[in-house]
Formats: sequence, structure tokens, C-alpha cells
Amino acid sequence: MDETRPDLANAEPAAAFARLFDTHARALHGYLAGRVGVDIADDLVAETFLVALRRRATYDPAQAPVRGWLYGIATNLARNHVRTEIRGYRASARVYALREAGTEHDAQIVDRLDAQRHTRLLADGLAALNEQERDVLLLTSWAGLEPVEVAAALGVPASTVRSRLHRVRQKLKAHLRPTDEENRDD
Amino acid sequence: MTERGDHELDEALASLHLEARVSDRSLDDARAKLMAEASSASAPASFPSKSPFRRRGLVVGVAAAAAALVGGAVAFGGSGGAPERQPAAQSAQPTTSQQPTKRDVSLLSASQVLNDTADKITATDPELRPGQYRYIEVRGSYLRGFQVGTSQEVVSAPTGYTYLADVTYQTWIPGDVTREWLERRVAGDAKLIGSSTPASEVPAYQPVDTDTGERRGACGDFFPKAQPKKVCGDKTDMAQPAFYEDLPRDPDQLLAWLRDYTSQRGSAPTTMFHFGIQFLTSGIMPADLRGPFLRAMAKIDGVKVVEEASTPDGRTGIALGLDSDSERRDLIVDPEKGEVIGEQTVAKEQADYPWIKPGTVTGSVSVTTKVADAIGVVPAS
Repeated sequence: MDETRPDLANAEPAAAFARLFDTHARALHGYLAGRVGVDIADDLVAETFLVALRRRATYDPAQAPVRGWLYGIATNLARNHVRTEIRGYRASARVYALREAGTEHDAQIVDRLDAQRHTRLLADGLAALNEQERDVLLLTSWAGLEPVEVAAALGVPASTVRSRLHRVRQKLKAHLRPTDEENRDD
Repeated sequence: MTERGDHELDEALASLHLEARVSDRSLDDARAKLMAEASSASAPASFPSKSPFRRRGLVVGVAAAAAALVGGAVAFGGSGGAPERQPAAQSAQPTTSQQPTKRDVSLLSASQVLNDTADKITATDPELRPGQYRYIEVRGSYLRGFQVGTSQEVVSAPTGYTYLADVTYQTWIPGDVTREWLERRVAGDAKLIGSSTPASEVPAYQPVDTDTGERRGACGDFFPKAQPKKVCGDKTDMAQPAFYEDLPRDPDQLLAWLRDYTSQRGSAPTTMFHFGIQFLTSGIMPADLRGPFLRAMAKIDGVKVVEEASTPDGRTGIALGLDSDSERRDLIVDPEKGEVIGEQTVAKEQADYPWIKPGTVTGSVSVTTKVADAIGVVPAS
């Protein structure tokens, strides 16, 4: 049997879900913790697998690997915490800004400063994205899903995922760039 | 510039909230919650894979199922059904467990009822003369339904509908089990028990192929293409008499065996109770095992007397139930006659589908065994 496409509807639930959990829970926690923090992620991981268990008959192995379906459930559950998520990005942006302000502009640390600045700007940019844009970007970047898996997770065509991903990356790169140029003019 | 921009963006993505994303927080609690519920989830058809009995409560039409994960209809199923099969006796048949009971069973304890029933089991298994067959009739109502929507909607705002479909299974087993068995399935009516839309908008019930037809095979091998292959006399196959031959006849030893048998599923009381019901209602458990097995069931934590209950073939008995969050599983016994007559499943507050009201009977089965004079011939009552 293809381990990436388990027959959840027919398999013995305990054995199938023990495998599913052991394969995906750690990475899923990482993805969720990045979005809503480790505490809420603890709860959401548990909730994701319980929902998956109850809805196991709705997963069709013929359609897509199980990972996308699982992350779709998790992403949906995380939507209830979108305010927490956005507050988190804004807080991160402030923290990175403080670090920048408190650091000497020494030539040796310019690279690190650039990286910090980009991270701050990214955090700021993520807070400004709409949900669909954030989902596509973070499912791809943090969860490491392929477009076809993101498509399964979000219930949209893979072509939509690709175009949305391209658009959001352009938007964020632009968000990182001008400020970068401004800073170089300093 | 673009490449550099991509690189910068990817680096920033990689570093943002990195500490949280690589935290090694314990996932034990989440796993324990999952396994507790998974171990009491309805067992699938494929486990034990060789049992035709387990096919009954199963997701049907899975191949056709989530063809529509995105924007379509998804078939789902599970054990369950509503008793509504018998015309006369059934006119007063409950579709929920909320109706008044006919006598006060509240003072009875589960262990008392099970032990009383065990006491009354005096029957010995009938000797089959040459050419005769053991005949097992299982009448059941099973949950069949559909869920509609995208994969997101299925989680966030599920919509769909659920039918209870009646199916009767008739099985003829020869004295020499290595000879040919026969199983006949007869589909009956289906009744809508819940939907997220008005009943008038729900599509008519479409019977499934596996609910009808005759299948033959030595040792009950009705599905010869199934894997793993059925082996005659397999003592791990609950659908063959050999499974029951070597089980202990002492209740405590049986309880320990049941705990061990379900250990891969966590040996939760609900899991042990579920499998115990499967064995007791298989129709092939020998008479001398039924008594001690009922006494073992009485020792499972949390089993209680629920109500008087009827089975789909119109018999009445006492339901002994065990609760999980989503459903209550009942074993129905007739303590007067010393018989195990069936089982039922009743939805609770956290039912799997929001359109199923608490108290709805989502599955029910009755079992009778007789001696048939020939294969395919239904014995007179």
C-alpha cells in the first residue's frame, strides 16, 4: 500500500491513525506553531487528528496524498485563531525592529542585519496578506507541500495555487525590496 | 534581482518563528487523545480482514467515495441502522432510544443481567445430520450516507444526509466447514434519518451492489480475491468456528484474552465491548462459550443496563450499553431465555454527523441461528 495514500476509510482506525500521527504530527506542529504559536499548536494538532479520524471516510486516496488533506484540516482549524496569528507577526516585526535599533552598524554584521530586516519586513508583510495568500505561501514554505497538495488542502485547483503563490511572492519581494533600497540610501 | 529577491524571501521565511517551528514540545497528549478515540471508532471491514461479518457495518462505495473531495459528494458509512424492518412488530418500533421502557430496568445491574442470561444458557449446539447446515440469519439496518462539499466545507460546515438501509444476511454453513458455504444478501428498505437540508431535497436512496446477491465458497471464502487469502480452519478468523474452539471457558481468562486481543487498539473498554459484541453476535460462537463470554462482558468497566430494546426481527430484550463521546453501543440479551439476540448503536451529542440527532438509533442487528435441511433452504420458524 502507498503509505502516502492510506485507505483511511477501510483501514482499522487505531492502527491507521497511529501511523498517520507518527508520520505527520511533528511537522504539522511545526507548521501550526509558526502560524499561531506553540501553545495553540499543541491543541490544534490534537484537534486536527481527531477531525481527520471522524471524517476519515471523506479522504480519497485516489485523489491526492493524505498530507494535503491533513494540512487542509489543520489550516481550516487555524483560521479560528487568525487574530492571534496576525498579532504574532506584528509582535515579531516589532521585536526585529528593536533588535535592529539596538545594534551598531558594524560592517561585519551588515549581512545579519539585512537578514533581520527582511524577517521583520516579512512578518509585517504576512500580517497584511489575506488568508488565502497566507495559506498558499505557508503551506508551501513552512509545510513543504507541493502545489497539488496545497490544492487538495485548500480545495482549489493546482493552477490557482501556482498563480496565487507567484502573486504573493511578488508582493512580498516588493515589500522587502523598497525598504532595502531606502536603507541603502541612508 | 529576482533571484536575489527570491533568496531573501526564502531566507526570511526560513528564519521567521523558527524557534516555534522546530520546538520539540511533547505530542504525547495529542496522540493519547487520538488513540483513545480511534480505539473506540467503528472497526472497519478489513479488520479482521477475513471476516465476512465485519463487512456489514462498513463504508460502502469507498472507491466511488471522495471522487469529489473537491466540490462533490462523498459516500460514507459506518456501523448502524434503525430497526424498522418488521412490519407488524415494528409499527411500535423505536427509531430513537428516547421512548419509554416497558418495565423498570433501572434497578438492574449490567453484571446481574449478563450473569442471569448466562445462567439460563442451557442450549447445546444442535448436531447436524449429514446434508444439514447451520443457518444464521442476521437482520440489520446499516448507516449509509453522503456528505457534500469541498474538503474545507466538509470540516467547517458539513452538509449531507444519512439513510439507514436494511439488509438481511443469510448464511448456510455445512457440518464439514471445508465444504461450500452460502451467503445470501437481501436488501430491504432505506429510511432517511437525518439531513442538513429539507428531506424533500435529499436524493432518493441508491442501493449498493454489495447489499444483494449470493456468494459461495468453502470455509466461508465468499470473496476469493480478497487478501490475505482465507485459510480453512484459521484460528485467527472470527468468521470461522475454529476461532472459538480454543478460547478459554473461564470469564476472567476470557476478559484477559479480550484485553489482549484488542491491545493494538489500546484495550479501551469500548473497544473490548465492541469486539465482544461482534463475537457474541457472529452466530457461530459455541453454546458452551456463550455463558462465560457474557460473564466476561459483565466485567468490562462502564457497561450498564440501558433500557428494554427490540431487535429488527421483533424480539425484545434488555440492552446493555457502553458509552463513548459519539455513540452508545448496546448488546441486547434476553435474560429469560438465555439468548444473545442482537445489538444496536445509538447516537450521542457528538455524533459523527451534525444532522444526526442524539438518541437516534444508528445501527441495529438481530441474529438467529437454526438448522437447515439443505443449502439455500430457509428453515421454517
